[in-house]
Amino acid sequence: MTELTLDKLPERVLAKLDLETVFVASRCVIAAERLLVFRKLKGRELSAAAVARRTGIHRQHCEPFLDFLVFLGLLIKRGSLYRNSALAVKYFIRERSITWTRLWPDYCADDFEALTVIEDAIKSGRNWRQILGKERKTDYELVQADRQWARHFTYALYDVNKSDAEILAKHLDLSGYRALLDVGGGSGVMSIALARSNPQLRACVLDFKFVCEAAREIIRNERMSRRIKTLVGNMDQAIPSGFDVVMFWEIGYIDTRVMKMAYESLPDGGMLVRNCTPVSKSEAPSPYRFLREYLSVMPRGQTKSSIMSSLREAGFDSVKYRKIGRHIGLITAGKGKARQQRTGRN
Amino acid sequence: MSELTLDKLPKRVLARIDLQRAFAISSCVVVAERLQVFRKLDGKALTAADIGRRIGIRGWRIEAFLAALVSVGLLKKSGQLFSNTALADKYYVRERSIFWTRLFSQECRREYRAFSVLEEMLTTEQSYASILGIDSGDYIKQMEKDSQWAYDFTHMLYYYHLPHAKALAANLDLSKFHSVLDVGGGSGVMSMALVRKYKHLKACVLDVEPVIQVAKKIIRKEKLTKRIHTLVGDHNKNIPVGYDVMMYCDAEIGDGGTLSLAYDSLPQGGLVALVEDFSSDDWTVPLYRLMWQLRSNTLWLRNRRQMAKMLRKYGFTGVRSRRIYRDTWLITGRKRHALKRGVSRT
Repeated sequence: MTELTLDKLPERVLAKLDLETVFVASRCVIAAERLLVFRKLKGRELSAAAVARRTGIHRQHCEPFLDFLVFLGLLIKRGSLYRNSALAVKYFIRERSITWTRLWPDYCADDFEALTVIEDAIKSGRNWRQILGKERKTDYELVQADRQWARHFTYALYDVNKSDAEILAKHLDLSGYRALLDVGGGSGVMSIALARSNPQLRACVLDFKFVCEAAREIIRNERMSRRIKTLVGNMDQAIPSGFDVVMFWEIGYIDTRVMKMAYESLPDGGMLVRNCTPVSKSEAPSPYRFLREYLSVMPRGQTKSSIMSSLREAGFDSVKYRKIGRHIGLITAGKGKARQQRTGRN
Repeated sequence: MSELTLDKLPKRVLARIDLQRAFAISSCVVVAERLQVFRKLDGKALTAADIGRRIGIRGWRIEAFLAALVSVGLLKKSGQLFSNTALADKYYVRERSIFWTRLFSQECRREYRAFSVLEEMLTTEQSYASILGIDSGDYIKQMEKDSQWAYDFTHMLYYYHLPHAKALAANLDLSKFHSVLDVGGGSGVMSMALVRKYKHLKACVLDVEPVIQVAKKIIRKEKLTKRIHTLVGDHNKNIPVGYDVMMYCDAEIGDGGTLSLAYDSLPQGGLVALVEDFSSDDWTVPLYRLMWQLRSNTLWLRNRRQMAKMLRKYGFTGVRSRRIYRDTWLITGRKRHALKRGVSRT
């Protein structure tokens, strides 16, 4: 799945969007996604009144709203009829699963709301949740509490991470390993790609109960049930042994205590795999770093160097980093020196 | 004053910002303006801690906040020091009055909050103010309440409208007219440009009390008190007679009752001049008007064609429109020497 980044908008649109008020465009697209405007218009040409009926948008607001989406290049207007543009079809229908459409705009709307108190929060040092007086459950809490949400979440991440999984499988050589523990592996998307590129490998996805239920469906659909199992558990409590590779991929902040547990669980010669966001010296910082840190309850995200030193502190040696994709950094760490780490496929 | 539109940002920056997440960057820039970050950094290079102290940002968020501004190319970082880029210097310091910095960023924050409940606004007839349980921000009440705000607001529009005023004087031929009533004329900036061009011309600025207090000072400073007078009043209720030109620059015209009053007050052959960023026929230019319409619970947006039609409806003839500056249009009409039979003005 690729995102509709600003560079893909027509030049005439960019020339009209002011940096200070581009939040309006952003929020309108979020609303269009939440109200399923592009999906209701899939393969159809409808009047504003018909779109209003199908999406629940009030008749008075529908036309200006759709006109705004026309301006952004996401809809095309012919007479009084609206239809999706090629841009909307590509980014909001073809390349986006329905599970992503259901979840992602809700996240965006919540994050937008969180920033309504940005000034208070950064001046006072208080958390936005306290200021808004709103308790928002974290993903971590939701996947444990809500079966339906966990299913949508797992499927959405499966779709989103497919291309990263292919990249990882291309760059991480596991030919000398037999059993992979995919900690917090969600849909199993990474395990599926790695198992396919390493025919001797078996994998086990460790995650919460409702996530494992959805992962089993996905793994079954991918015909990988014989080689990939699921295991209900919580990495904060225990890391099971019996695996010669332990992977933590895209699961957020992990403290050194968990790294130590992973170290203990691995046999001598075992390997730990983690991801990180690469930042080159010449590259500007991520535009979203502030948002991530603002929304987070933790003070700082983990950088490449903090992850690497945490691994060393946990006992690992030959800790290596490699950038394998535009947004993907691969960190590997070995336990003992019995086996040479091979992190490249040449 | 020109705005920092997205086409002025480097492509590599645009390529990293997802349209649905662009609000996060927009929000940081608005807060930077609210806290006058670029002005505090004018001609200086400061550490994050220094900036934090000067703008009142507490805790660990200052680094991430500044990184967001670096990511879009508004600040540059050299070692531990942050300074303005040429882009920030041009758009947020040199070309922008302090009044604009103070008030526009405040306006953006309010709009941002309004758009946080966009779906509710779109699917109901409620205004954002009633959904959020807040005041809708009537700027006249605000000025009555706060004289400093009235001062800033009137000055903001004075500086903002200087190029519009120059363009108006170049495009509006008043050689055969004697006196202009500048309805809702604010600082009197338009009148000043006109009387400077036409030495025989006199003008009167009609506006609400708090604005007139400020306008008087500006007119005195510009040494035009002999040729420009002021008058406190509400142009929607009463329009004084004795002027052969009625000019409305960015003045609320409402449902047309105002134009009826103007028609009645003008002598035969008198001129009405409307100067505004009227919407294009497809509503998308200027974009900000369509944006603000989206968060309004009444349909107030009018395009040029509708405005010209409205002038004709109220009896004006020889209606002409022309673009005078960027998205600003001048629409003029004359009061007939005698009402033609069959023209209804009701």
